[in-house]
Amino acid sequence: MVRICVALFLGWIFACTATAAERESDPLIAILNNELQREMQQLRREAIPAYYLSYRVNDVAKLEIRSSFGVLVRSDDTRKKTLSISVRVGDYKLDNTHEMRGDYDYDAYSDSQETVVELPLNNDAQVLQGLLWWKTNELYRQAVRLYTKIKTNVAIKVEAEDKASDFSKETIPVPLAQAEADEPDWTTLRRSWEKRVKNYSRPFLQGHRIFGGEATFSLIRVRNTFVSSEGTRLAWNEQGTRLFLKAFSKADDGMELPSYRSYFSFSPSGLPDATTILREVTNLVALLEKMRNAPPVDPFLGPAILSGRAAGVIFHEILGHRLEGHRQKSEEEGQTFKNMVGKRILPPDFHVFADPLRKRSTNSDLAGFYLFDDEGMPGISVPLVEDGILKGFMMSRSPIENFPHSNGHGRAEVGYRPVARQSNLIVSSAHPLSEAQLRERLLQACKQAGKTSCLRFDDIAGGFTVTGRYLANSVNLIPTEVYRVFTDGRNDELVRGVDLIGTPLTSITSIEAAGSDIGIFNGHCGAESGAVPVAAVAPSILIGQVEVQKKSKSQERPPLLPRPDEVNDGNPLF
Amino acid sequence: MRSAGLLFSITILLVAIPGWTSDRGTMTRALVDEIQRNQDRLVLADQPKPCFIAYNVRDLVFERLHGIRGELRPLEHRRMRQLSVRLMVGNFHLNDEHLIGGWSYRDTLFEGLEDLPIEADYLGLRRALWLATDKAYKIALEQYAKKKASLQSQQAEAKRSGQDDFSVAEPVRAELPPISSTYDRGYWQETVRFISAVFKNYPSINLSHVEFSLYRGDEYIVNSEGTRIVQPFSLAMIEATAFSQTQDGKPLWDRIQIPTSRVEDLPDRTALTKAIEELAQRIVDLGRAPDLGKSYFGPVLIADEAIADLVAQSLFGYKDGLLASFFPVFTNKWEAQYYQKEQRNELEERLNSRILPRGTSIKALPGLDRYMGLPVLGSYRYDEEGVPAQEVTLVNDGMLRAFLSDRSHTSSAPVSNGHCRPVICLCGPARYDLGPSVISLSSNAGKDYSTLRKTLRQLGSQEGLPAVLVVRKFAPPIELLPDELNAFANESSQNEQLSGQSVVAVLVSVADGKERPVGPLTLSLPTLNILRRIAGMSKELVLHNRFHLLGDTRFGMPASFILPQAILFEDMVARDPAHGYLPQRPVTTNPYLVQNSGKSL
Repeated sequence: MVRICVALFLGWIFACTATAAERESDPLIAILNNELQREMQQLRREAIPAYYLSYRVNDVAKLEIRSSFGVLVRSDDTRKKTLSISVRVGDYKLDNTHEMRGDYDYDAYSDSQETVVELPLNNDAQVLQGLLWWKTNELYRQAVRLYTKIKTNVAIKVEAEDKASDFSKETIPVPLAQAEADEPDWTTLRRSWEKRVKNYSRPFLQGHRIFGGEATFSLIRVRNTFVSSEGTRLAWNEQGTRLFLKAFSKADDGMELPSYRSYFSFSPSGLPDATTILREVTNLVALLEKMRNAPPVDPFLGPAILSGRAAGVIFHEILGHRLEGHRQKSEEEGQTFKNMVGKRILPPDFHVFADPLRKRSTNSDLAGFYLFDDEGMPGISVPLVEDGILKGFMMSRSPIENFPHSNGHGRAEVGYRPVARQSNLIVSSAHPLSEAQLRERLLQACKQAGKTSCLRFDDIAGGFTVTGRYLANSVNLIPTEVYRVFTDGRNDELVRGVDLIGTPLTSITSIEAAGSDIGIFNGHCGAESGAVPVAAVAPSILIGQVEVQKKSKSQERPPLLPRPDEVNDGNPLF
Repeated sequence: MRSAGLLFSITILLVAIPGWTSDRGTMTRALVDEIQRNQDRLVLADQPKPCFIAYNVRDLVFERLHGIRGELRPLEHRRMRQLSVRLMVGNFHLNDEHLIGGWSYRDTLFEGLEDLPIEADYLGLRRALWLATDKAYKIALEQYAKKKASLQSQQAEAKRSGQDDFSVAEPVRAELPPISSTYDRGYWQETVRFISAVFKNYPSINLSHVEFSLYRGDEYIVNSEGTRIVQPFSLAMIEATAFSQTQDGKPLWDRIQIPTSRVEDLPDRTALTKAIEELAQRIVDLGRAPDLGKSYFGPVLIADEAIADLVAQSLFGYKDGLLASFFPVFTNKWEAQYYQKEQRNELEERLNSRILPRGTSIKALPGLDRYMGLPVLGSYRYDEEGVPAQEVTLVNDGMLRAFLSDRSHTSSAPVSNGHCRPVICLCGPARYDLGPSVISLSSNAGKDYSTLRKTLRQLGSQEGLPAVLVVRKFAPPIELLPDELNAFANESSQNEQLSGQSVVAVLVSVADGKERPVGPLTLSLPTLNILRRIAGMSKELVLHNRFHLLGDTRFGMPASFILPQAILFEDMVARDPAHGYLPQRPVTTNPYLVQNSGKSL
C-alpha cells in the first residue's frame, strides 16, 4: 500500500536560486567522477557487473528560527553534506530495481532507501574516495543480492503487464557547474529574523484560549552535485525560505482547532512584509475565536466550492499522484489512469501541466521549481491534461509502455531512491467563471440537489491519498476553514469538524467549473521517495458532489488551568 | 501540603553566591511559581490532586566536531533546554508510577507546544511548563486508575507489602557555581583534524572517525517539596573509532572514549595522537593474530580496560546488578512473564549473602572528586531527584549489603542514597535513571600482577591446558559504532556475552609463560556463581572514567570505576565470535592502499 500526502506543515521547502554563473569545472565533480570511473572499471568486470553508478551529494545549510507567543523557542543553523549512491547491476532492461512481485523482500525495501553517508565539509580527494569506495561496495553487494532474487522472481511469476525496461536510456544533459552561491551573512540574517518571528507570534497572546501561537522562519540552501557513469556531471544551487504561522486552540468538546498560514519565497526578501503578516496573525486569532464556537458538521454529500488552494491539493492528490509514471508500472498500484491516455478525464476547458521550470505564479514563488531532478535529468514542462483529455505522465527514468523517457520528474529526499514525483502542478481553465458566477452555480446545484445549504472550503492543511490496490483507492483532505453556504441568502456560516473524502474517478468526474481566481499551495509531499517540495496552482472549482466525514476528534480536555499570562492570582495580567 | 517555611528551614546552601545570576533567576522563578500554581490549583473534578511535582531542566549548549582522516564534517552546534516533568497522583505509598504495560495514548496532534523557550522569558517559560504539567497530570490520573485496577484483580498488593512507591527525601536548596572552563573551538577543530589524520598512516583501516563533543550549561531541579537546586552540567568527550576487515572478511573494530567533565581535562594533542596511534595499531595487530580456534574453557585473567567493561556490565547493567529494582505492578500476565524472564535482577534476593570472595568490598563514593591527583568524572553533589549523593558500602567482605538507589522505594533500598543520574542524549526531555557514580572495588587480599599471572598458569596446569587466556580490552558492541557499519550490525552481542569482541587478548603458555596474541574472541558474562569463585585480584587500583551506557543504547551517564588492575576468574568460556551473517569484503580495491602504494588512481 502506498499512502502519500501533501502538507504545508511538513519540513522544508526549497527551489532553485536565480541563475548562478556557470563555470567549466567543479572540484567535487572531479573527485566524484574519478572515484566513479575507478569503481566502474572494476565493477564492470565482476560476474554480475554493475552497468550504472551515480553519486549525488547534497550540501544543505539550514537556518530555523521559531518563536512561541513572542519568545524564541529555537534558533539553530545546521549544515550537512550527504552522499547518496545508486548502483544498478544487470542491464537497462532488467536490473536490481525491478519490482519484486508477490512477496515482501527486505532487500527490495533497503534498495529503495539510498542509505546516506555524511561527508566532510572540504573536498579532500583521499578522504572522499575512501568513503565512496566503502559505500559503493556495500550497495553493490546489496544490488547483486537483490538482482539474483529478481531474476528468479521474474521467471516464476506470471508475465508482467507492463514490459517496459527498468531504466531508460537518455540523452545526458550538457555538463553544468554553477559557481557556488555566495554565503549570506548568517549572523545578521539570524538576528533580523529572530526579532521578526518574535514580533509575529506575540499577538497570539491576544487570543483567549489559544494554546499555541507560533511563527517559524526557515531558510535552506543546497548545493547539489551529481555525477554518473553515463557521463552526467552537474553542480547547481537551490535556495528557499518559508515563513509559517501556526495557532492552535481547542473546542470544549475536545476538537483540536489548528490554523496555519504559510509563505514561500526563494529569498527572504520575497516574503510578505510585517504589516501583511501581522494582519494575518490578527485574522488567525479572530478565526480561532470564531471556530471554537462554530457548529460541527454532520456527514454531507452534495455540491461544494473549493478555493484555489484547496482545489490545488485535491488535484495534487486525486490526479497528480495517479499520473506519476512509475505507478502505472507497479502491479501493486491502482493504475487509475494508465489506459485513459487520449480520453477525457476533466471538463473540456481544463488544462493541467506539471511544470518544474515555472518559478512564479501570480504573487508567489513556486516551491516545485528545479533545474534538474534527482536523477540528473533536466526538469521539463509536461502537458498532462489538455482540453480535458489525458496526455501523459510525469516520468522518472523508470519508463512505462509508450512513455520510454524521463521528463525530469525523478525526485527524492536525501536518502531515498528517486521515483516519479510531482513538481508544480498547474491547473487552469479556458473558460473561468467569476466568483459571483461560481457561487451562483453552487447555489443552483444545491437547490437541484434538494438541499438548503452546501459547503465552501476556503483553506486546507493538506491531504493524503491511497493509490494501491489492497485498500480502497481513496483521498482524504484536511480542511481548516469551511463555511456553510445557504440557499436562502443568509450569510455564510463558519463550521468545523469535517474531512473531505472521496475516490479518484468519482471525485474528478464531479468537477464542473472553475473560477477566475488562482490559489497556490506551496508544501511538501511525502511518499515512497521521501518528502519533496511541491506546489499546486489552481483556480477555485465547483464540484457537483463532495462527501465529507466527521474529522477524527481528540478526546483530550483543554488545559485545566488558564494560560499563565492570562491570570495573576486570578486577575488578568494584560 | 507541608508548609514551605518548614521545608526551607532544613535546606542546605552549599555555596554562598550573592543572588541568582539573571538567567538562573528567571528560570528558577518560573519553575517555582508554576509548580506552586499547579500544586495549589491543578485538579480535575472528583479526581485526586497531584501529590508530587518535579521539574528537571537542562539548559545546555551542545557542540560536536567530527573528523575523518584530517577533514572535518560541518560543525554541530545547538542551544537547547530539555524539560522533564514528573507528576504523581495518589500518595507516596501508592501512586501512578511503576506500572508495566499501562501506557496511555494521547490522541492529540499537538505535541511539542511544551518546548521550553531558549530565552530567559518568565511568562514564556511558564507557558511551556503549564502545558507540560497539564499533560503529565492527565497521564498520571489514567496510570493511577489502571494501576489500582490491576492491583484489585491480582495478588500483587501482598508482594508489595511495606513497599512504598516513592520514598521521602528532605528538600534541598543549593546553587552551585558554574564550572569555570574555557572552550576554544578553533583549538579543538584543529585538534580533531590533526588527530583524525593519524589514520592516514593506516591504509588497511577502512573506516575511522574522531569525535569531540561538549555539553555545557546548568541543570535545574525543582520540586513541590521545596527542593530548588541549580548546578552546572558539563561533559566533554573525545571518541575515536576504527574499523577494518580481515582477508577472510571478519570485522575488526575498536573505540576509545575519553570523557571528562571539563574540557581542559581532556588529554593534550600529543597524548591524543598517541592514543589514536595505539588504537589503529591494535586493529592492525588484531588482524594479524591467529584465531582462537576451538572454544576455550578455563581460567581467564581480565586486566586493564577489560576489567571496567566487566564490572560495569556484570554489576551495574541497566536496571540490574547492584542497582535497586522496584517491584512493579503488571497490567497483564504477558508483561509479568517477560519481566520475570528478561528483567529480573538476580541479586535482589541475595541481600546479606555472599556474592564475591571474602575480603572484597565495593563502595559508591560519589563525593570523591579526585583520585591519585586525577579528576573523577562520576563525582557529584546532588542527584537528579535533588537528593544529596551519599557514600554507600554495597559489598563488604564479599557480602552484599546494599544497592544503589533513587527515590523509587524497593524492599532492599527503602530510601534514596542519591543515585538517580542524568542520562545524556540529545533528543526529547531531560532523562534520568538509576546508575553508578564513583564505584570502588578492592580486595584486602590483593596480590601483585605477576603473582596473579603465576596463579593463572598454575590453574591452567591443573586443568591440563597448554595455554591460558588474558584479555585486556574489549570493543564495544558494533551497533554503537557509526552508521556506515550498519551492514555489520547484526553481529550483535548476546545478553549472556560480555560486551563486544576482544581486541587485546593473549594466550600464555602454561609451560614457559610466553605470550602469543590471539584474534578477536567473545567471553561469557560472569554468572553469580563465577563471581563468587574469583581466584584473585590485583592490589594495584586504576581509575576508569567512563560514559556508562544504558543497556545497549547510545545513551549514557558519566561514571567512574576504581578497580583492580586485573581479576583472575577460575572458569570462563571464550569463543571465536559467531558470524551468522558476514558481509563480503569490498570487491574493488581500497583507495587508501592504492594511494599509499604510490600507484596512480
